[in-house]
Amino acid sequence: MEVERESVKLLLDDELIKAACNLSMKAHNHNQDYLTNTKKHNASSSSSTQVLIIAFKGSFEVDDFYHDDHFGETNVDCSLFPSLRRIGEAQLAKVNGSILKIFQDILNNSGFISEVEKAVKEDKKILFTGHSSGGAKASLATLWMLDEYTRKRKIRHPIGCVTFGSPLIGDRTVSHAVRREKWAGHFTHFVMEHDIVPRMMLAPKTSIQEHLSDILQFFQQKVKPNTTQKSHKFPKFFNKKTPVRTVDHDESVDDNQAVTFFEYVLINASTVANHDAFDLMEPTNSLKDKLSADFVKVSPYRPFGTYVFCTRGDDLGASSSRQQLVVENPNAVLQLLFYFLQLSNEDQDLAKFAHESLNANLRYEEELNNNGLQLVKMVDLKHLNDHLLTSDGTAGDTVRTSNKALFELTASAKWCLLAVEEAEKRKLKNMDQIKKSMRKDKSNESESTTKIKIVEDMLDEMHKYKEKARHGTTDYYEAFKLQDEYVDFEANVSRLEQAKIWDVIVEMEVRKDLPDEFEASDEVVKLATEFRRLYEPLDIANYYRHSKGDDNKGLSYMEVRPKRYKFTQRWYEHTNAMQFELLSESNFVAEVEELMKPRKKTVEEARKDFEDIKDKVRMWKSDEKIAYKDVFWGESVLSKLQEKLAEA
Amino acid sequence: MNKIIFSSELELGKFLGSTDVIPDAYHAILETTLPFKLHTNRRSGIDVLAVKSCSHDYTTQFLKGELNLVPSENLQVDFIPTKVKSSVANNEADSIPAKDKSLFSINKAVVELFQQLSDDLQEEEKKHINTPLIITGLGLGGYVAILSAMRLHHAIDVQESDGSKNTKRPICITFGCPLVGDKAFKTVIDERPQWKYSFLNVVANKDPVATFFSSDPYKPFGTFLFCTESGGYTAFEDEDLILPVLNAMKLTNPDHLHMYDYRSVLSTFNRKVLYRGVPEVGELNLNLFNAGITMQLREVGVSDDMNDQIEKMEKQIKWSKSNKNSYEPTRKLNEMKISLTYMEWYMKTRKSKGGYYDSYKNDETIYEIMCQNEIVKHQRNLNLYWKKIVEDKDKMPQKEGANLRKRWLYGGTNYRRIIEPLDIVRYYHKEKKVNYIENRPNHYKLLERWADEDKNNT
Repeated sequence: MEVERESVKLLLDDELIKAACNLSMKAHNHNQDYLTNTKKHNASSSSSTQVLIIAFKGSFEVDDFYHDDHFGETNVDCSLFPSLRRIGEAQLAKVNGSILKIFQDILNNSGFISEVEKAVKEDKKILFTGHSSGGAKASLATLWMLDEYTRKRKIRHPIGCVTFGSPLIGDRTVSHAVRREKWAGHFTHFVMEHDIVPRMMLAPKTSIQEHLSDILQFFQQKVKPNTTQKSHKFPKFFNKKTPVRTVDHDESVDDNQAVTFFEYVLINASTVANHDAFDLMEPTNSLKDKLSADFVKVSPYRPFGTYVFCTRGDDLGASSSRQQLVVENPNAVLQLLFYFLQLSNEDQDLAKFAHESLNANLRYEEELNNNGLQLVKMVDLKHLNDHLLTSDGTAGDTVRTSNKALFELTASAKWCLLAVEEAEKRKLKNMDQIKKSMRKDKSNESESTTKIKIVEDMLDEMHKYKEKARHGTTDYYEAFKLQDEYVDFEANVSRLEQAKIWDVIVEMEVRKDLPDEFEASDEVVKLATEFRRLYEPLDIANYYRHSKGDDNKGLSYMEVRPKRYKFTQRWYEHTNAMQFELLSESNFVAEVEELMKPRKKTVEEARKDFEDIKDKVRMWKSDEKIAYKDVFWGESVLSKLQEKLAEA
Repeated sequence: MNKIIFSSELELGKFLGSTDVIPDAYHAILETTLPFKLHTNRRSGIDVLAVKSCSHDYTTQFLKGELNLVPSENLQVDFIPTKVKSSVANNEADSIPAKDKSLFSINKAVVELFQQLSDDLQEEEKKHINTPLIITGLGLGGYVAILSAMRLHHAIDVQESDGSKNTKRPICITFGCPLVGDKAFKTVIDERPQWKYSFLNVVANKDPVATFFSSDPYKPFGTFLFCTESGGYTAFEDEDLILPVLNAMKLTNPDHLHMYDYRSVLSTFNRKVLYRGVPEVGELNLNLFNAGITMQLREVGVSDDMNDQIEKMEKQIKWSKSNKNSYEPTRKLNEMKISLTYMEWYMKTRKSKGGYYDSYKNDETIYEIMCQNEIVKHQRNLNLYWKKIVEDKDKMPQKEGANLRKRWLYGGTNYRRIIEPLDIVRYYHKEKKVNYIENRPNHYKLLERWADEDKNNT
C-alpha cells in the first residue's frame, strides 16, 4: 500500500496575510507567548473554510538571539524534529539554540499543543505567523507540526507559515531537509529589501554585541508602544493608531550605533554570501576551505522556504509601484539578502541608510496594508535569470522595469545568481545520469546500452542466482562463499559492479552534488532497498570468506560496513518514518557470523543473541513492506550456528 | 552542453577581503619587534607566527639586484628534496652525474634569511602540528614565513602518514613578498595538494619589493591578493595572469627604494563590501569568464590587454573540466577490484592445467588466446593504476610503521603477487628480453620494500 506522504499546503490570500501581519504585531504587546485568531478562508474550495492563525510574539533580549559568543547554533532536538537531518550521513541539523529553547518551553508549558490538537479536530487549517524573532518561533512551530502530524501521525492537515522580517534560524541542513521533504511551499517569508533583521544572524555576536542590546531595545519600544519604558519617548496620550512607526530617526539609537551595527552585519553577510557563491562556481582553489575550516568562522545559518522580497520598485514613490520578488532557491535568497543590502555608492549617506535598515523591520504592516500580497504581480526569480544579462536598451524592457531592484544589481551579483542556477542544473544532471544507470530507458533501447550495466538488470540476474544456487542443495550465501563455479565468480563481479555505481552515489550525496530530494525519491529508495537486501549478504559472505586468514585484526563486518549499505538502509528507514536501527534484515547474517567466532562471547550470551536474532527475523518475515524474495533469510548460517550452540 | 564558466576568484577575493584574517596577520607583524614572535589573537584566539621584514640594508641590497638565484643544495634542509633523485635521473640520458644535479633554484635571500632563524622557528612550528597556525611575514620576511610553513607542512605529512588525524594545516600569509624561486620550486609545492593552496601572498601595486621579480625564471605559486591604494583588491591563482600583473605594477612603480606600509590599503579592506561599486559598462553576456577577469584586472588598476592569457586559461579550465571526473577515483577503485577478481578467477581455473603462469606462457588453444585477451586487459589496467598510486605515494614522506599506508599496501601486495609473475612471462617470452631483475619496474620494487618495512614494524 502506498502511503500518501505529501503534506498539504495552506493557500495564502491577501486577507489572510494582512490578518497574520496585524496579529503578529499585536502579539508583541501581550503577555502570552502567542495570540490566536480564527479567520474565514476564501482561497480554498475545500470543505474546511476556517483558519486558525497562531501569532508568536517576539523576544528582544540579546540572549534570545545568541546563547553563546559566536552564532548560538545548537544541534536540533531530534525527537521533536526527526526529519531535520541529512539522512544518509545521519547528520543532525543545527538551529538557533535560544529560539529552540523558547519553543521547547512553549511546547511544554503552555496550552499550545492542545490548541493545535483542537484545531485539527475541528478541521481548522493552521497558519503560524510572527514578526522578527516571533517569525523564527513560527517557523520552528511549523517544522515541528509537519514532522509530528504529517510524517509521524500521517494526518494530512493544511499547514502554513508566514513570517515578517524574521531572523535566520536554521543551518544548511535544515534548508536541505525542507527541500527534500517538499516543505518549502509551507513557508512564506516576507523580507523588506533593506530590513537588517533577516541578515542579523549572519554576524557572530562578538562582532555586533557592542550595540546589540540597545538596538533590540529600540525594536522593542517600537513594537510595544503601549508598554511603559524608561526611555520611552512618546507621550501616553498618543492615540494607538498614531503612526509612530514611520518615524525615521529615533534618538534611542544614535548614528554611530546604527552605522557600526549595520556595517558589521553587512560585512559578515558578505563573508557568507561570497563563501557560498565561490563554492557554487566549481572552484579548484581550496584556500577558502582551509580558511573556513580553522581560521574564519562563517555563520552556519541559511534561509529555507519561499522568500518574498518587498523591493522599492520605481523610485517615483507611488506605493503601487512597489515590487515583490519571489525566490525559492535558498542559495539565491542568501545572495539577495547580501546584495540587496549593499549601498549603491560611497556618496550615499551611510547613517541614513543604516537607520532606514533598522526601521525597515517595522514597516511590514504598512507595506502589506498598502500593497497586500501581490499574487498577480509577484515575479518568480526563476523566470528572470534568462534576462539577467541582457544589457540596457535591448528587449525585455517590461521585465526590467517591473523588477528594478534586481536588475540594478551589479554584474558580479547577477553572476552569483546565475551560478546558483548552474549549480542546480549540475545536480539535476547528476541525478539524471544516476537514474539512467538504474533503469533501462525504454525510448532508446535500440542504442548500444549493452555496455553499461544497469542496476535493474543486475538485480534480475542476482534474483536468478539466489533462486538457483546449487539447485537447492545450499543457498546463495554459502555458494558465494565457496566460489567454486563460474556463476559464483559472475556474482562476485556483479557485486563489484553494483558497488561501483552505489559508491559513487554515496559520494555524490556526501559532496552535496545531488538535488535535495534525491534521498527521499521513492524510485531511488525502492531500488536501493532491493539492492541492499539482495547484495549485502554477498558482501558479508565475501568479508567472512577472506577474514578466515584473520588479516583484519578481528574487526567485525558491522565495524567496516560499507557506506552504500548504511546510507541505503537509512533512506529506507526515513521514507517509512522508522527509527534508525543498526541491525536490519539485510545485515543480521553478519551478527550470526560473529557469534560463530570462537571466544567472543560465552555460550549463554551467544544463545540469547541467537534467540534475539531469530525473533527479529520472524518480525521481518511478517513485515508486509519487506518482499520475501528480496531478503536472504540466513537459512544456512542460522542452522550452522544452531548446531554449534547445541554442541557447546 | 555549453557550460558557463565563472571566474570564481572574483568571489574568493571578496571573501578574503570581508574577513579579519589578513588585517589580523598584518597587525601581528606590526606588533613584532624581535625578528619573529608568536602572537595569539585576542578576538579569534588563533595563533599567528609573525616574521618581521629583514634589515633595511639587506632589503636595499636586494632591490639593487645583488641577490640572485642559487641552486637548491645551498638550502640545507631535510623537509624538501633539494637534489634530483637518482632513480628518476637514471632514465634520462644525461652526462651529469645524477647526484650532483640540483632540483630547483631559489633566491639567495631565502637561503640566508631562513638559516638565521631556522632553529628558533622550528620550536614554534612543533607546537602547532595539531593546532591552527597562521605564519606571516612582511617583505623579505615572507621568504622565511614560506619556508617555515613548508617545514611545518612536512612535519604534518609525516604525522599523517603515521595515521594521525588530529593535524591542522597552517596557512601562510605574506605581505609584499617577492617571488621565491623557479618553476621547479613551484612544482615542489604544486604537486603536494595539501601545500598548494595554503599560501596567500598579499601584494600592493606600489610595493617595489613585491613586484621586483615579474618574469622568468621566477614563477609564482599560491594565491595572490593584489590590492591598490584606492581600495581595490582581487585574487588570482594562475601564473599566466600573476606574472603580467606583477609586471604591469612594476612598470608603474617609481624607482626609488622604500619599504611599503600595508596599513593604508588594509584599513579600508572590508569596508569595500558595503558598496556596490561603479556599474560596469559593456556587454556582459558575451563571455562571463572573460568579463569576470577583465573586471578583476580593472579593480587593481591593470589596463593591459590580457585577452590571450584569459583565453588560454579558459581553454585550460574547459579542458580539465571535460577530462576530469571527480568521481573517477571511487569508480576506479571498484574497477580495480573487478580486475583483480578476474585475475583470481583465472588463477583458480588454471590450477588444474598446471598453474596460471604456464597457461599464460603457452597460449596454444583459441580458447586460451581469447581468455588471455581479457586477462591482458585487466593486467594492463591494474599496472597503470598501481604505477600511478605508487608514484604519488612516493612523493609523500616515508616513515616506518605508517598506519595509513596499511590499507592500500595490503591491496598493493595482493596485486604484486598476482600480476608480477605475468609481467615476467610477458618480459621473457613475449618480448624476448633478458635479465628481468635488473630492469624490474620501480613500482614493484617500492611496493615490495614498503611491504617488508611494514612487516618488520609489526
